[in-house]
Amino acid sequence: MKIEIKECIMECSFNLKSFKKEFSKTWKFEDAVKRNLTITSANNVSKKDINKLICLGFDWGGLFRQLENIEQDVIRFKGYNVSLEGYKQYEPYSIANVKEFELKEIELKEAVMIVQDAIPNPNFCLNNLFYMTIFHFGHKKYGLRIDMR
Amino acid sequence: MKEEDVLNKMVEELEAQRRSHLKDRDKDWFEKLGGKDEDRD
Repeated sequence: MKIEIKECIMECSFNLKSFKKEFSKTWKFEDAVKRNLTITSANNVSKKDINKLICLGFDWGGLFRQLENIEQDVIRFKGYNVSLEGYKQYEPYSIANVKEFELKEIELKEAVMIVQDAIPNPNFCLNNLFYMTIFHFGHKKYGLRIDMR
Repeated sequence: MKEEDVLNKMVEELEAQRRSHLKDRDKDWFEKLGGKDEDRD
């Protein structure tokens, strides 16, 4: 498979120092992210969508695991259109006998990739793309497969 | 493979991945990707 990074569609800065203070007091995650995120450029995308993408599509857990080693106070985020060649998503399809799952293969050709300068590691960003941004399983249900023998 | 071996292998991979995410940080890569108004190759 091949991934190609195309044009930059948004840039934001995130005040990590202020976020840490606020989040540890309130534990209201999305509010704390939104209040500390400043969108500095947006190209044909709404600010609302950018806020949602960063809140829901970024691997915050991955960042928190490394937090003690991240010294910067401000994180820069960028979002890029990417083209995908040969990438398959697997969506829920059916379940049988409680524990046999079948998934349906779907080809995905375009996505948005989030990169940031706190962990600017291509593998971290790809991991983020595959498992956070284009992992569309949460709201889909399995059909029940019954074997008629 | 025994269940314990499967788990050990997975945990080793996860630990290696966690270490490499920080060790292999590459600010140059981030900068070279460029921004909205920059002319990228």
